[in-house]
Amino acid sequence: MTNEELLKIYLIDPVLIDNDYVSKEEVENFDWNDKRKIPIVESLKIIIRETAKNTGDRTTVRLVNQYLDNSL
Amino acid sequence: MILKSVSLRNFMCYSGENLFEFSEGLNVIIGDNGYGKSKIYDGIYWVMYDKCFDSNGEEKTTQQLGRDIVSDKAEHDADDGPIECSVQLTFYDNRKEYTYTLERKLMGNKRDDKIIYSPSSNEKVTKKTAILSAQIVDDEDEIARIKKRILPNNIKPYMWFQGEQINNIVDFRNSETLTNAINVLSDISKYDEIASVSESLFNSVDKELKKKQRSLSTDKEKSDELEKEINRKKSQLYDFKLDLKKAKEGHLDASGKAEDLVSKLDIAQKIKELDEKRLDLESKFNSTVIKLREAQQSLHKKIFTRGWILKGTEGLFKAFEEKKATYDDAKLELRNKIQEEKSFQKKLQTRLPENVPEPVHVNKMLEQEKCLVCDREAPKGSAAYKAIKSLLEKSDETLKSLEAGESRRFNFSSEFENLYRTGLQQEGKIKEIDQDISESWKEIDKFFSEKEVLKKSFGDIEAQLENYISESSISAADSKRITNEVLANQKLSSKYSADIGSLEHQIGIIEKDIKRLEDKYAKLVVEDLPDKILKKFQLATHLNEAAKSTRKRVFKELISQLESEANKHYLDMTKDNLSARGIIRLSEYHGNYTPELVDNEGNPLAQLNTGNTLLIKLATIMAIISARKSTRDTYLYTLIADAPMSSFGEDYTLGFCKTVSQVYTQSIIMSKDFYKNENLRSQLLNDSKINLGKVYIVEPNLKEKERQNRLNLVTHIKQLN
Repeated sequence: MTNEELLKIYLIDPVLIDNDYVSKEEVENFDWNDKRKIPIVESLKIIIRETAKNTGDRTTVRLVNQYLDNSL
Repeated sequence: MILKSVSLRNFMCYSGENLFEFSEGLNVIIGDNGYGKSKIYDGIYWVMYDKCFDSNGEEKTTQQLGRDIVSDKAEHDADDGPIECSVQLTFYDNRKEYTYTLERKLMGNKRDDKIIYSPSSNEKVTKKTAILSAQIVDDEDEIARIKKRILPNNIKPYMWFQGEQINNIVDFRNSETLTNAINVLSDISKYDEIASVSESLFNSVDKELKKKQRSLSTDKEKSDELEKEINRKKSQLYDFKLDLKKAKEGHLDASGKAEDLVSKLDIAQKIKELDEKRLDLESKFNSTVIKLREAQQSLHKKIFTRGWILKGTEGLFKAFEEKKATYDDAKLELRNKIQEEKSFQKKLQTRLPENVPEPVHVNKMLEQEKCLVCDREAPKGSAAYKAIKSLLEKSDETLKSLEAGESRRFNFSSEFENLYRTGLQQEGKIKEIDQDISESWKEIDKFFSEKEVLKKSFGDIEAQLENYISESSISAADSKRITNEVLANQKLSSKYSADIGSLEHQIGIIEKDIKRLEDKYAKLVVEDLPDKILKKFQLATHLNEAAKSTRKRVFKELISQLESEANKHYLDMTKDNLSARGIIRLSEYHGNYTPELVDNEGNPLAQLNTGNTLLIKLATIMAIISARKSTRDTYLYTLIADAPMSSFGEDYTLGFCKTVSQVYTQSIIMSKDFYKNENLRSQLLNDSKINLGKVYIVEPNLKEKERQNRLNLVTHIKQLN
């Protein structure tokens, strides 16, 4: 399974759709390199990418924190 | 990764050089018990783990096994000098086009019939790429990585196993084992990792938020106090949740054991009932056998005791009666004659008969020597004198003769009388002999029939008993223990159930307390919290929730997919067996899943036999493997199973082979099922639905009795396709 396929599985979760982060329609054609840079999606991408590389939890959390601090 | 070949040199029963080549699909090594099938499994295992199994099936190191690894014949035949025992495995990674060769060697040295072996084995690993020639791999980490690619340790129990080990793969009493299998064999662990990171992120952001709240508090002391209280409550909550988890596990275990034993108890009671019936029948049978024997013996005695010996003598009684009557008549006639004679003689005293003078006159005539009848002279000595004298002698002789005759006949009179009377008594009995004989035979026939009926019933009961005992391994003596254990586990289960209720209630209270304290804590902050940190907290909260619910959703979908796949495999494997029944259902209990067999209406089927239980386990494991096969990044491993079919009947063998050949890219199974049953072997070799690899038959050169002396033992390998 590719990272993008895995991401899409998360994006269809009701928590993300009900809180208007993404719509159901958007998920179907969602691209890993989506230009909108939605923070929660980008955070998920970091987590997916880093876990695939076997990066430790602490480092991944730090990377997401850094991203959120810079982008929000 | 495909196992291309296994080469055994002087390893156990494989003296000299021995080679097995394998391909994708189902590879089968056929041989009877003790022919060396398991030694191939041992050889593969030895190379990978430097361990082997002893005769009790226990894992032992090379050092513990020592010379047991080496062929006795190789040791015997070797001249003084080095002896080598080795196994070489060749794996091919078709994705990367790498060939790995793993070899393990145990060296010894023979001198004057004594052999000294190295305390440890040597391992040699080479790697060959499509371009480069074989290179020796020295780096231990690299060797470990190669072995992990061949078979990761956590997957080993599901892919490499010997017959009896299959039972432990999925323990029906422990629902965590299936969950573990799913976690290990499926890619659900990815979701777990993401959920774990998301939770860590949430905790980190929550901590950051709390820190900010405290810095903006109007009453820092109160905030600190509240924070401490919140943390204390959280710690308490954590402990309660742990206790709840333990209670749920305990409840599951106890209720599982109770359920398991309840089903056993049913069987045990059935066994007990049957055993009692068997004993009753045995006693009745023995008593009937005794009665039959007695009846048979009394049959012989009755020849005399019941006068059967007289059968056919009815005519003799009649003849005897006639003879007695004749005797009596003769006797009477004689007596009459004597009487007549005596009367006659008496009469002679009073009157003169016509031709016989009275004796007194006869005597007078003799004295006078003159016949007074004719008045003629009869001088003494003359013929006339003699004639007169004979008149006297004649009368005495007649009487004497008659009396002698009577005396002779009279001697038999009482005997004749007795015999006659006895005869009269027996006559009635003789008439009843036929009926008596017929009734005696009827009695014997009745006992014989009873004996046969009892024998048949006894045989039926014994067969049923044997069946129940072999399926359940429960003896009648175990039933009491089982009853006690059921009660104890039911009690324990109720206790855990009560604990669960109480803990859930307390957890609810603590969660409310935490919420209340957090609200209080938030109210102490009068200034607005920075928007950025609130957004971050909200995002981390949603991300954490989404990660958890996605994991839950994916796992549920996986379970549903597994259930469908497991049923497909179960159906395939049991196709040729008419007694197979039920549908596999993966039931959830407190987040864990356990497989069970249900009927069409969803009711669990009890008292499954060992074969069925194993097939459910195998079908479930195969479902996990085949579900994984559909994902592109699945890494496929070779199934190596020694006697996997030993616990279920031949009816399932081909179904199992077909399914295995379709689910696993490569499988190597060792089986005795195809050895004696040539028809089954022929079906294996010719069934187009079986994706067949190589098939070998292994046979020792010596017969079983001769194999005690292993100094000449050679194992012949014959490829069948």
